[in-house]
Amino acid sequence: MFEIILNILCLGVSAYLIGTGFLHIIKFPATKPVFTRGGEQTMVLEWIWLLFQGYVF
Amino acid sequence: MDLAIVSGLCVLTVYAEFFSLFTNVSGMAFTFVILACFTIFIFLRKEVLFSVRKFFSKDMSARIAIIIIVAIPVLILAGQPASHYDTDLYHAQSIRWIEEYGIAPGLGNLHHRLAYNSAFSSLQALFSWRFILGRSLHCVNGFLFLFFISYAICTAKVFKYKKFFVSDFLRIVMIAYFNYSFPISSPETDHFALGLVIYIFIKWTELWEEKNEEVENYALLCLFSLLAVSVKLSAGMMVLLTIYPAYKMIISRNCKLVFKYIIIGVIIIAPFLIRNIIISGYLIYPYPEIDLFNFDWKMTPESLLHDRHEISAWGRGLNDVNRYEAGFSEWFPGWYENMSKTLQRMLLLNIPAALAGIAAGIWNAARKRDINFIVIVCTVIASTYLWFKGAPLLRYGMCYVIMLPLFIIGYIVVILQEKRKFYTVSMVVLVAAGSYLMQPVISAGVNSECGEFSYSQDYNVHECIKQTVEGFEFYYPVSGDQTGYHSFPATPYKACLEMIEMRGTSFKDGFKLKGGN
Repeated sequence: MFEIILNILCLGVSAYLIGTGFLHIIKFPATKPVFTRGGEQTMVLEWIWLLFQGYVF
Repeated sequence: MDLAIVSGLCVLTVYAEFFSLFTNVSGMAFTFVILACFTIFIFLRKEVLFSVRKFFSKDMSARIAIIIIVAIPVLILAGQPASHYDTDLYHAQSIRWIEEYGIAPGLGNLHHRLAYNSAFSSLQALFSWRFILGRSLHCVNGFLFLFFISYAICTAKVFKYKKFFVSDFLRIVMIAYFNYSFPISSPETDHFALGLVIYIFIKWTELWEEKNEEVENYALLCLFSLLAVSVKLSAGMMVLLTIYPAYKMIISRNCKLVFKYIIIGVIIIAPFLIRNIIISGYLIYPYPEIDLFNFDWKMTPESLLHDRHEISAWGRGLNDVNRYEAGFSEWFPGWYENMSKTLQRMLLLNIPAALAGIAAGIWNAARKRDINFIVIVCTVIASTYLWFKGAPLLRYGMCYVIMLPLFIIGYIVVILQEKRKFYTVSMVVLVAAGSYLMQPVISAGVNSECGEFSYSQDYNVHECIKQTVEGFEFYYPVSGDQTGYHSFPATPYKACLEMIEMRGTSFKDGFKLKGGN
């Protein structure tokens, strides 16, 4: 049973963290204020997104 | 927080699908996920911790109590043997292929049901932990059950605002669907697809109730609907929802936003389509009408049609593929009789509900210039119709049967409560209904034997016969068509092995039909 608890927890936590990162990268409206206030912390994600945009367009 | 979790599930599923195109989804794929999580936590720790604190600060004790009440039966049931028939038929083999090889061209020639290619199998393979435990866990549906039920209860607005909202009635659909869809220990694909469908409708209705005009909120839900389609094709009509944000974006001439969401949408659906092509040779299985490629591993159009007819015949309760063309009067009475009395009434309620919904939708659009209502109603009607016309197996679409009637009942209740308050009586009815709906899962959890949940159960073992083809060992079942997880690679019918040949020197090179291109 321990492995089930760990598996479910791991899936939930990783889904939450990756989802949070995804919403920041796409600049989802609910996360935008935090995104711009985040300063250097979110800068790297912003660069990745800008590079991606530059590459695609 | 729920939006982040669903987005995360979406990203993880698409990531696992992309990964499977190159190599097996196992330890390395999982390690990258963990590294990504650490990176995101380091960069966004303030936001993450703020969000977690916010979740636990508001009505904390009630939320924790609900999650624990739901978690206990989930933990008991998720560890039980994967008893769903289709799991031993093809779910387990599909997951094993992704764990071992990722993908192989022409896999559908070996086992035609692997061509269903649900995106859920990739997610399950990513979190099966076979590389750690030496056996494959099948708990993703347990997590989905825990998440969607907890979401439906914890976010119900009726408790907070002391009045009813239409979205609360859709939350009842979520609770009803998951509590009557057993077993959750099997890695079946319906839970994820239909859970997403109901979640999208709940969020969409919430946005409509709040008169939220932020188009990106709707666009994000449309991305989830694309994922639902890649998990289960029966969710295909969900793409109708894209009309609303597309219309909004086009009239506001926001090209950048349109491109952004089109690109993300393409990224979500692309691995599913590529996997379809690699497994079956067709863009969408089982639709040979869309015939765009001519690879040597291509399945025959006849086998796709046969499979489609079989799905349709089984969905209608005919249990004989040769009767797939049976008329409505032939299959409907028997199919209808097999439903519970409650579902029979709900199915009949769909007709007046659809008429009322369309009328209210037109009225809203004409008087209030609100096209959102008609978009919701039309999408639910179209989804219900697709399910009913295609393969009306209750497992594929029970939520569609109850969704429209509850949506319309909710709409009427919300209108009525503006004139007269009936909160106390309604709350008693709601709590009683909720308890009744939760009863199956709680009683199943209570009635489980202690030994069953002390250790998570492995996949079932089926007796199979080994046969060598061109020096490669394959398995087929001694009787029936189930092979389970352990006999790998397997085919449900011995005849399949006589029809195929290897495309190269390993399983990874795939299979083609003898005498093919």
